[in-house]
Parts: sequence; structure tokens; C-alpha cells
Amino acid sequence: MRGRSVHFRRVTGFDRRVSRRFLQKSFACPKGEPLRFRSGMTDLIKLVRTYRVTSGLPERLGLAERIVLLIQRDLRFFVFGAVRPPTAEDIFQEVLKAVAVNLGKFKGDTAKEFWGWCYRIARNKINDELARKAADRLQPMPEEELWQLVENSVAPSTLSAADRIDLAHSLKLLARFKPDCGEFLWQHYVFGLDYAEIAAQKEMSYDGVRMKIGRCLGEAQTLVA
Amino acid sequence: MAKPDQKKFNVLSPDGFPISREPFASQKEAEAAIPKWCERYQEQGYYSTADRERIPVKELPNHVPIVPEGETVTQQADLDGKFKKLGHHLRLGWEQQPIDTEKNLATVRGAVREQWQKEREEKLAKPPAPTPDKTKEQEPPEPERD
Repeated sequence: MRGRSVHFRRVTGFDRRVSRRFLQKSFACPKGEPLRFRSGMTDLIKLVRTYRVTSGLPERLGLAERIVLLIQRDLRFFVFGAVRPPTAEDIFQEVLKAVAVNLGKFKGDTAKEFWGWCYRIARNKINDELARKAADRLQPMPEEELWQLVENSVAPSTLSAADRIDLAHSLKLLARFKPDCGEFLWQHYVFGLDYAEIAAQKEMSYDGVRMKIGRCLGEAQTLVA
Repeated sequence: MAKPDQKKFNVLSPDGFPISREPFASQKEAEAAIPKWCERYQEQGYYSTADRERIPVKELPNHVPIVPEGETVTQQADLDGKFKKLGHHLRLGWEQQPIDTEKNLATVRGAVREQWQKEREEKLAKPPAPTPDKTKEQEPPEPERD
């Protein structure tokens, strides 16, 4: 087993012990924030830049693995928020492949640009799949599954009755939106993308996204009324 | 650094939404953020509200109130806060979900290997860059004129 581990490190340049420390450092920050806002994300762009100028296979493997450990959870949420399993898992694996294959071609210089690039890849893969299935709409997570996430988010005793009512109400509201508004609101509030990030992903203007979300909230008010 | 019990402030856009993800630690910080936010609309020349009302960029600073955190001006901002809270809980819940890291790493290893192999093959298939022809005879120097 030990020999296998040494072989693994030699071949991939990836040390499991180092990776554990790396992950602890990367995720040692407030929970519940989108992962890309966390302090460890500053390492991400360094890894991507290093990958760009690296030609050896073992080094590339080691770097790609460390990059994937940082992005997998957020990207998976992005895909699973739009498509239902088991298709979602297949698309997610396709997204990982596409990110890995094109890592050397990424031109940006900031973590934000890199995330935008990853989301565009994910978005395109989701669209390809939807087009292939000729079903021109997203398949968001069902309300029960979303509520399960809320239930798992904190210890049940820490969620007050008022909080529960508030959250359940917001969730019902989110689920009642038409797919168009629902997608914008999901990306902004649940996935945590800001207007600029949504604009880049959807090839819209910052103002267009801002106004769209404003109008969708206006629509939500009418649902409340 | 802000004390934990210190009041925080939001700057609200003309549509009633906070202009920043997190509230500002002091009123001074909030005030300082306004010109920077208004700059976004400098090129366009106006801010367009959700009701399609256009506010000239020069007047924009007068339409962005600073309010203590928790005080919302519009129902939309209230909804904005509720959705943000929901999003926070959904992300927390998502983080508890198991993730098959080994499977994801295996996918990526395969893709990186494949790409590396492809690049290597392309490199080998590429004809070598033409080198300057050393065998080419040099032209004889022009005869000197008398």
C-alpha cells in the first residue's frame, strides 16, 4: 500500500498528505459563501498560471488535480442546480474533462476570470445536453430536495420557527417562477453569482442583468400579494 | 476594524437593492463607495431603473441612500434579503452532500493525459522549422571600381 502511495506521488506529483493540508488551508473560512470567495481561491489562479507554462505530464497531472479539488464542489452545484441526476452527473464529468483539456488555453489572469470561464464551459455543456434532448428548458432541483438542503444546512435546533417560515416561504416563491426568471434568481441568490458574472456567462450587459433581476423581484412581489 | 456590535450600513441603489454583497463597516466607508459605484454608469450616462426610468449619472449620487443594515426601504429589498438568506442555507446544505473526489480526479487525469498525448503527437508531426541554408553559395563580392 505504501509502495503504491509512493508510486502515485512519483507518477502524479500529487501528495495525499500535502493535498489534505492544502484543502484545510483552502477551505478554512466562513461556510455558506460560494467557494470562489474563499481565501484559498487566491491559490487557484497561481495553479492555473503554472499549469499554462508546464509541459511535463506528471507536473500537469499534479496541478490539474489540485485545481479540480478547488473547483469541483461549486461546479457540481452549478450543474446539479440546472439538470436532474443521473444526466447531471454525466454532464458534470464532461465539464471536468473539458476544463482539464482546455486548461492550457485559458487566457485570463484572475480567479474571477477563471471561474467565469469554467461556468461558460458548464453552461455550454448543459445547453448541448438540453438541445440533444430537444427539451428547451432547465430542470431545476425539486422543492423537496431544496428543502432537504436547507434542513441539512445547520443543526435543526439552531433554526428558529420564524427562520423556518421565512425560508420555506422564499423557497416556495423561487419554485413558482417561470424558468426564465427562475434561472436568473437561482444563479444570483442560490449560486451566488454577481451581476457581472451572470452577464459574462449569458453574454448580456451588466445593466441588462441588473434590470432583469429587478423585474423578476417585482414579479415576485405580485406573487406575494 | 469594525467592532462586532458596531452598526453596519448598506448603500441602496435607486431600485432599493444593496450595491455591495456585504454591508459596509461604517457610514464613511459606505459614502466612499458611492462615487465608485456611480462610475459604472459614467460611460452609459444614465442609470436605468427596473421601471425603465433613466436617472442621469450626475444625479445618481442623490438617489442612493445609506441605511443601517437591517433597515430596508422597499419590499423588493426585503425579498432580496430573504432570497440571500435562502441561498446561504442552500449552499451550506450543499456542502454537506458527499462528493466522489476520486471519480472526479480520475476523469481529470484521463483528460490531461489524453491532451498531453495529443499535443505531443502534434509536435512530432509538425515539420521542423526551416533552418537557414548554409550550403547556399554566397554571391561573390562586387568587383571594386577603379
